Amino acid sequence: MKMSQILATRRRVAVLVIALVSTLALAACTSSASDEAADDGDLNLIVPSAPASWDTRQTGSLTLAAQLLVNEPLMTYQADGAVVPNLASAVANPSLTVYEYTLAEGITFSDGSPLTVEDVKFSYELHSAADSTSYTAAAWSQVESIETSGNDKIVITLKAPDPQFRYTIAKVGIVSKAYYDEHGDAVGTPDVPQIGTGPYLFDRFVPQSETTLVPNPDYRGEKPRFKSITMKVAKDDAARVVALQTGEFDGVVSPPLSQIASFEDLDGFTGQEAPDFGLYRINFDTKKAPFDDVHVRKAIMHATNRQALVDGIFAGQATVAPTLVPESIMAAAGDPAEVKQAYVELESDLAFDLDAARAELEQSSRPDGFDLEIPVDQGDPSQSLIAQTIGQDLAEIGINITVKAMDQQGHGDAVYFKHTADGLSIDSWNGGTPDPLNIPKNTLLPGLFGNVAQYDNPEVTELLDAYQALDVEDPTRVPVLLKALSISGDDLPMVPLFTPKVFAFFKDGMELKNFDTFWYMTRWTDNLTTS
Amino acid sequence: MSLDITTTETTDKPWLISPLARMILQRLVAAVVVLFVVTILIFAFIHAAPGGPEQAIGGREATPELLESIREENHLNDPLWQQYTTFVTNLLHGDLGTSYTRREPVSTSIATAAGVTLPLLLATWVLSTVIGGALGLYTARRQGSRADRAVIGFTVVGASSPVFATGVLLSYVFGVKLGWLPTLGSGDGGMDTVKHLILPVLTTTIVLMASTTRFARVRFGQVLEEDQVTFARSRGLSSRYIVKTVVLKNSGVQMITLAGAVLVAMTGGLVVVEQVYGLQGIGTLLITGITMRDIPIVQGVTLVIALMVVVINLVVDVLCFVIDPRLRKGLEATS
Amino acid sequence: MTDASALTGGRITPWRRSARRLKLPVAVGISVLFMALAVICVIAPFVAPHDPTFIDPTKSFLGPSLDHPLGTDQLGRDIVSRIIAGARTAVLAPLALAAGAVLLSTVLAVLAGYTGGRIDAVIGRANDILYSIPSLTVAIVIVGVVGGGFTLSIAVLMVFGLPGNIRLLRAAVLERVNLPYIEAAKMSGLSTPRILLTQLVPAISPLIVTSFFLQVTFAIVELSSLSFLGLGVAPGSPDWGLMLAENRAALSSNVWAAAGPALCLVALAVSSNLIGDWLYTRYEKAGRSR
Repeated sequence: MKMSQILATRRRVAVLVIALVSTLALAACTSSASDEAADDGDLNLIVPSAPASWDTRQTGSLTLAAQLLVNEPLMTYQADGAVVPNLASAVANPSLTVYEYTLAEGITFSDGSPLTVEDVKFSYELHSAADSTSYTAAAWSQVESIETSGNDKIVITLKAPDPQFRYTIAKVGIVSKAYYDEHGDAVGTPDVPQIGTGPYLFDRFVPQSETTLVPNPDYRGEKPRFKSITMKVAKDDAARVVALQTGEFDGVVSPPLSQIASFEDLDGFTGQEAPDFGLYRINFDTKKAPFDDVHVRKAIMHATNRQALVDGIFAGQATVAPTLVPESIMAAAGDPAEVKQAYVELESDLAFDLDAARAELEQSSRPDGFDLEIPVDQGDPSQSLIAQTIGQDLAEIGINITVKAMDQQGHGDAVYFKHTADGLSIDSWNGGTPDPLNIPKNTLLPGLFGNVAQYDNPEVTELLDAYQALDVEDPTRVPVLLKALSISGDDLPMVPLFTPKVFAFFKDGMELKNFDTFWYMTRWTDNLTTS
Repeated sequence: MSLDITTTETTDKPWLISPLARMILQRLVAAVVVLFVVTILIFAFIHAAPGGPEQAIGGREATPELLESIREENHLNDPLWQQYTTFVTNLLHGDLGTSYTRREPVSTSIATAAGVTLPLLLATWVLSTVIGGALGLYTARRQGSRADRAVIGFTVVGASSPVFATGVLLSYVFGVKLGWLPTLGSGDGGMDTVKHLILPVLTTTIVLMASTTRFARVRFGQVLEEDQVTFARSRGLSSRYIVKTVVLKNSGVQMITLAGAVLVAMTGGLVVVEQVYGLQGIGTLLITGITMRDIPIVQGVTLVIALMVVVINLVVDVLCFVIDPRLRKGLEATS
Repeated sequence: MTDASALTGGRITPWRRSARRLKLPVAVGISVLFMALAVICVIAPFVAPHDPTFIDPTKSFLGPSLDHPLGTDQLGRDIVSRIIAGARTAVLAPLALAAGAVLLSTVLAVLAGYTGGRIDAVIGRANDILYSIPSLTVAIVIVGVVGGGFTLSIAVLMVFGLPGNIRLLRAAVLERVNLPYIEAAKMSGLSTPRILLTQLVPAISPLIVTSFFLQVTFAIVELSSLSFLGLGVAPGSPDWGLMLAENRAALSSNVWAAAGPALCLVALAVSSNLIGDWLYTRYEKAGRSR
């Protein structure tokens, strides 16, 4: 490094220091006018995560709660499950693979420029381009073409029918093409705030930490009701509880499962819960010995006391999962009685029985048991709790485990990308759309990221493809999916453990109406009531 | 003791430049080596870490092809030496690169984070050295008194508590019970930021003050018992004069070394405090950089921290050199 | 306080100290007692009332009772038993860490400070490099790459404990190297090892002792901080730092699950601190009266 640079850096640092010291001094002189506590107009929330940038390619699931308030989607998901036109005035489905949207008239971005079909096309191509780095690129890989026709039509053609596509549209915020042309990849960084057509604007943003939204004064619809919406990330568990207790915040959404009990004990806050569309599961890498042996897998399954996990450690925060899809989600799509029957059968195959476990192990390639290292993600304390608990029962049948904590990327590399771990992992998998297909598709089809088991059964693949080709309203849909789940259940590439509930805690008197696991896709500010 | 000073001025070798300048020059050369080693070390480690940046960039639904194209795009498939050369070349042009995940120049990310960390660092440093030094001096002169014991008790407990435990306790007391101060985030400028910084500063100060007080007390205690103090006292010199001219001067080297060490120790220790209080400072930037395998961020932050440490150490050495003539003699003798 | 009283105060100190020397101060006594208790737990972990690793989901987060004096953690494990089992790592690891770090730094500091010249330069530069490395970063990266472990954490912290100690001790050595009595020893033809062992090291030994006990305290705190960041012992191990980190978010469920190990940690660190201080005072006095 050159001398001049060292000096330059030092000078820069020195300038910064002086600036900061004088700011501190000045600030100390002025009287305290700012009010910490939120009044009626400010909403302060603790959230589990924040993106590195508000570029729409880098957001997904909970971070959409802020993004979609700024960058409205063409269609909006509603708490009752319907997907309704938002920026679109109409939608038509000439066939199962063609979606034709008509853009509503007179909509403008917050910088005053009009919203055109080119903007919509551009917004989608950010995700569908072959080399897109979008987090949701996989959902867009089935798109054949995105075309505009006239001044107000966008036509999207899929390669094959996809019942989840309507939700994909509801999750993608529309951005300004001109703005992206001007600023490129910088859009969404603190200096180049993302712009959209929605009721709020990005005001302040600290990457991966804090975001503040303020009302868009020129919003076409009803005037936004909050003077500001601030979302802060609390990484540390204790800090999260303490921060809520100070009264600085109006609520916390999706806190970690292991902390629910602490929040329930807090005075002044009321919890809301809903069944999550997701599950904790044990994955067996079926390409790796000894887990390529179904008897080893069955032995571990029988040695796993799922009910004890649910009753003891996650008391009241979860329900035992007989398969990959929660019963409520499946029942909503098909005949509840039929679903119930199928679920009872699925559950009966997963009984906790140490003798049966020993018998299975006897028949396996490793009758004397083996040693095993289970990788757990530090970011999710529940994984470690589950691993330790099942480890105690596994020791009874001769399988001795050690738990290894890894950071998120290291864990992801060992478990999802490179499959370098010992072959047994514990994780939670969440559905990205309300369609019951979501989890089975992502975890049972070969080559997909969520298929940690590297499971590949052509029969199951065929059934899942058949399900996709059916219309959303077709009554034969759910039986097809149930059959796929039953076959894969017998193959046992993974043990479904339990479905956690999803929680939110708000100040007494405040309530998020119709709270469910996909609340972030809705215009949730409309459902937040204060009494 | 003070006799040594004058004799060193007449040396047998005529110096072209003063010994001080010579030392600084030597140190700067060494600093370049230090920075070189640090960057190579970090470079090697971060590249060896499992789970490359492409996974963080591509997200959990990324296909193998996409991951490969991200690697290609960011030159992650080039030989390591080539990547390192590029890094150094860019560095020499004053370019720290662009963050993979934040899509902004690394220097911008660091400047933003430094805006949070520097006030915290400086306030803590000044408070812990000044208060620590003063308490150390105060108690050194009253060893065994009630005040001495109270101070020792406080520092002992302070130094013996994990930072995150102290942090949780303080935020519970001041944030929850008393409701005086915010406990999360860095505030939105002005008074709000100052308020948000009070608890983090208090937490780190309590921990660091413990060691500064202890060392100051020990060192001042030693000097106070030295012959020259006894001599000065017997000459009837005032206590204040003794403290000023004899004690402070003779403890100076260690106190400056200690102050430097405190500053250096803090650069790493801040990570925990920033995590506890949800501050987006340098430490958090580094931690998220590592978890996201954001190589340019990790390299940039470690380089800046290393640079800072090198500069602090240089300043410490120069100061010691200036105030303690014995070191000067030693330096000349060895050259 | 007036100047005069400050001066007399300075004179009274030795008298007071020798008075105190006759009896063990209460705080130090308690510290020794606590240390002894911790050591008993290390040698005889079977005094624990329950199996410290036995998981019973039906007993998750029980409050204190006769059977479980400090209650249980989330997995239904007995807190008291875990604290007793955790004494092993809590006591031994910091001691090993501090002993290693202080021993190594003394050797290097004396070598560097006394011999000077090239050796000093090499040690100094190597030390500078170590000093300039943000220790936590490297700790995190190394642990991430190698896969972690307690031994590794200890080794890494030991290495990063060196620079501060070396600097401090070297400064102390430098201060004495040019003093007349060392020079006199050199003149009188004493061998270098003898000068070092009989003159130099004793002269800086109060600093060494202080460094050691401070290092123990630091080690206790640092190891628990590593556990806080998830880099210490494996999940599930009965370790005070880890227990504190795991249970600190559940203060409302069973406050003792976190407070118990926390108090033990602080008590242990305070004990080592006080004992070190007391030893130092005695030692220094003995050195002076020689």
